[in-house]
Amino acid sequence: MSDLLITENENIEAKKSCFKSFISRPSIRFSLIMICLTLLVIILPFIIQLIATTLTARQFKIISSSSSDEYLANKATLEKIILKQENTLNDLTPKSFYLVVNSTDNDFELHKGKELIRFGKCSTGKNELLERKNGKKYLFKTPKGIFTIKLKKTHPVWTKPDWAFIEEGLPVPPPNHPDRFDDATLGDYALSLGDGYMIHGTVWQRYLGLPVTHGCIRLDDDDLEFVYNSLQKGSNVYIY
Amino acid sequence: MKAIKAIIILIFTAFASLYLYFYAVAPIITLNQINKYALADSVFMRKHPIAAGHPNLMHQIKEKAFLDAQLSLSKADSIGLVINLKDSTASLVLKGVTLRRSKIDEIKQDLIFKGINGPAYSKLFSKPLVCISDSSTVVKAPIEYHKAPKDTIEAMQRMRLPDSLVCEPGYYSLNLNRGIRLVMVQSEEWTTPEEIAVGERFKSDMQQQKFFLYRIKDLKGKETPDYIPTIVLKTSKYNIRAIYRGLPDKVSVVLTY
Repeated sequence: MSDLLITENENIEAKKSCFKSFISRPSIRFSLIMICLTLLVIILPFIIQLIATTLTARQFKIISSSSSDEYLANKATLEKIILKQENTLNDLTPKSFYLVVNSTDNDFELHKGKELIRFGKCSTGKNELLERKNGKKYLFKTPKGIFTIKLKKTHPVWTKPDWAFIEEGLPVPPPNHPDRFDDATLGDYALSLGDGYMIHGTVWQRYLGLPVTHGCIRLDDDDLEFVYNSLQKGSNVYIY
Repeated sequence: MKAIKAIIILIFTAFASLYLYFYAVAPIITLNQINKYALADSVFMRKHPIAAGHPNLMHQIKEKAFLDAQLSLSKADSIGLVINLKDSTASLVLKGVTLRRSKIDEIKQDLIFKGINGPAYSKLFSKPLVCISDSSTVVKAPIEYHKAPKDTIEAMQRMRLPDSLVCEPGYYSLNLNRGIRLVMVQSEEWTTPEEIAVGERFKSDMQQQKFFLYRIKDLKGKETPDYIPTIVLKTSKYNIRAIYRGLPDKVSVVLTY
């Protein structure tokens, strides 16, 4: 047993001396020093930057130190200004209902003040440029920005524009032709945003959440009714 | 042997000096320039005496600058980006109304931002920063071009539904005026080949600014090396897509930290 221990100790000693002789080789020692220096150089910028930023802040404190009375007076002034600015900023959010439409993810949020009232899926413009044989182009895109409700309609009738026929490969009928008038597509309600853009219902409810429209905003029946009853003429609609 | 050692030490010293110059001296020079930038502006200092004299009021100075910038942004007619690093959010704002608030998962901010003094902070961040140039992997307006179908059969054949699940890799980099760079990168793992390619581009973009050899190449004919204080934000690629598409071509950014 003791013989075994002695042999093990000898082994350890031998390993230690081997390691020492390896380290003591000039080339190895030089390489190790260089590695340590490299590591130090890599870390050094962070240490220098940390010291410099701390010193800059400290230096500024010394330059501009003021009496505690002055400090307290200025603190009070600043806090007063901040409170006033916060109120001004808060006042920019409409107190009444407003709609926010996300045309990238095709969803909407109905807010009243800062409170979220309803969230749901919608469909917005399909981002398509349709070109006719005569070179006339139609862009099916939902515009972004701030809009207001211009008009509210129940049981709206859609007066189909030319592109509605061109897109389906149908001949374009003359103005006021009965084929132009469609009382089923827009659903029970429509809210006009101007320039032909509307918030309305849809018969293609399974497409909600997808960009499939010609620029209008489509909602499902329940959401549309809720939005219609909440938004008034002049209410804001934000589209991004 | 001694000669080789001497050469190695010489090369090491040269590289170490350059390295320290780029990574330690350049940021400090920039920080000093930023800090002097406001203190040297007598008109600004007369106009904002409170911002000047009270380093202990840094919290209030930052709060006021943030509100000033937001109020200034609210006067614009286009959507702006509000980055609040204190509560880790990036918001799209129009006329003072928050349209979308996205959570930032990770923030990497250069150390020198901590060394910016009150007056410089006020001068830098009291007004929205304007984007000078940007780049993104997200398509700004994914417009598809189609010729009008000849008949109903062709129209029917063309009908298809867009795939809402497809989302490009998320990378958005903005070079702002007043010498600040903002980078938004997806927090999801880079898994698809497209995403891996974007990940490489992101690393390369970062290296262009950080990597030593690029910096040496960049130094030609300049007194001091370029250093752009950078903030890297990691958030979902869906957030990056919605933010990038929601913003106008000329982006205004309000920043607080």
